[in-house]
Amino acid sequence: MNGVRLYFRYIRLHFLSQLQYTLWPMALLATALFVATDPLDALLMFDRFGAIGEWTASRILLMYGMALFAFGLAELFARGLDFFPQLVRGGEFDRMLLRPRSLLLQSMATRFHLNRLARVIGGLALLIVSLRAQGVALGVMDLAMLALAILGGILFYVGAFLLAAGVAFFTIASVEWVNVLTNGSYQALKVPPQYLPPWLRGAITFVFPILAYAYYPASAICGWGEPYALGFAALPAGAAFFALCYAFWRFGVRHYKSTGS
Amino acid sequence: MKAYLSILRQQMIGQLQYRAGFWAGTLNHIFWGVARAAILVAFYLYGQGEADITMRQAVSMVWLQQVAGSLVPGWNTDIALYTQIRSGDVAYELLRPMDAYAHWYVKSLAGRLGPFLLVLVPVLGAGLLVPEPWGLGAPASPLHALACLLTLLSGVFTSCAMILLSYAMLLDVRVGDAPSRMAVTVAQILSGLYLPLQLWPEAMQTFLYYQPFAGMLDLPVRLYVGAQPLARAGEIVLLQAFWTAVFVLAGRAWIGRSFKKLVIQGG
Repeated sequence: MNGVRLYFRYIRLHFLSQLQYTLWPMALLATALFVATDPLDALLMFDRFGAIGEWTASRILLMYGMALFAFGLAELFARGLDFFPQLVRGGEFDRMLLRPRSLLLQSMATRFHLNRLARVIGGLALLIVSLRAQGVALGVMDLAMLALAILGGILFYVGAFLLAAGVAFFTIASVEWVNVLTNGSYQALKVPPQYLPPWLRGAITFVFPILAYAYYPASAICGWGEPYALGFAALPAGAAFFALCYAFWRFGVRHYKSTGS
Repeated sequence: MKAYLSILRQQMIGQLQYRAGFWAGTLNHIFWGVARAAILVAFYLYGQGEADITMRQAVSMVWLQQVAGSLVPGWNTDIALYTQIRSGDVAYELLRPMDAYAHWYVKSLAGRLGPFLLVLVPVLGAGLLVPEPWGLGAPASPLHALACLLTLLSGVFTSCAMILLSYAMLLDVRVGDAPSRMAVTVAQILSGLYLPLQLWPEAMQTFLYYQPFAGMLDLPVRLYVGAQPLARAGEIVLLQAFWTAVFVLAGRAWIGRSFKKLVIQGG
């Protein structure tokens, strides 16, 4: 069985075992409530202040929804990376090194949390609702761009998880600030890019290219004024970021000295 | 009584040892302070709408939410109890010659105050250093700042009483931890942790003022920025005391019943 099939076998095991827990819909609901707290401040502020310039709530929600959807999918399928420090500390990683299968896929498959579906559904719902609210008609090209943008976003976030996981090789303590960057990186999308303070805009354009997979594709689809072709930058940007983070992670693997068990 | 005080002291000392989480928590809070401030500033400057509080007040409140966030249920809520219940160790709690409710209450007091004291100075300092308009502003007066601190501390009692209610939900193991987590999330939202309550829709303002969770964070913080006159500080304390009493009575009754029907898992 090759790595990919092994990965999906693991996911299926987790999935079935969590379904045994008869109240899993309630856990999903609890997570959904928690997920809803995140855009709450932006939504309530839009309710009170109307719009920022020509940026209405539905525009912001489109970008935010895309980010949420991509992040949710990344979390759903690569959740194991969030718990990577425990893998390393507990010695489980040593066992994975002995297996002749992809380390990355094994790490990703160690956990699967069904309640992360709440983010996926929430993000998708926001996306659809905001596209409808703006009255956007999606052509085939638009749909393709959207799909590629989401894919780019997923690659970006899995890369960010890898970055956080790779740090575990070098310090025993988990460096939480990397988590801030991964989980909090899409917070900046609640405000239109033009209205962000310049240092924050620079950070999200070049350091963590979240604009590439959220703002430019959204702008292209809805016609907000940015060049159409930039919308296709999402996948290459995400892939490049992923490659960098993966390289960092592999660097950590090569220099890994086990902490014992 | 001495037993509970010494437990409180011991737990607080334990919390203050937790230096590994200190930097993580501090940076986290500073990041969120800046991010939330940036969002509010964008709305105030470029949106069309009105609010009862000015931009400076709102931004200061957001920073104070980060400073005092540990006082509200949920932020690092004690999951040790959940593992205890799951593994059956909760039986030990019943064997002690101590009131289990008071014991847990005192532990959760320490759990709130410890992290609060740890991040108080760094996050406050960072907030003051961040440039206008995204930074923490000065209080309306030193007296206002003092009133804010005192009402925050009296609000911790309500907060812990709420946490004990969520523990009561945990004791009913069949439903898992979801109801407890949802209750804690609702408490967080309504305490104004994610957005100052005065920025919520006008129609909800009366409800939001009198509901139990406002006194945990939002009402005290209003004193700092001067959104609530000092003369009405006593009103806040009265509200807090009322809700604390309600939660304590409800919590004791519920936990008492649950203990009678408790099923010990594990062996």
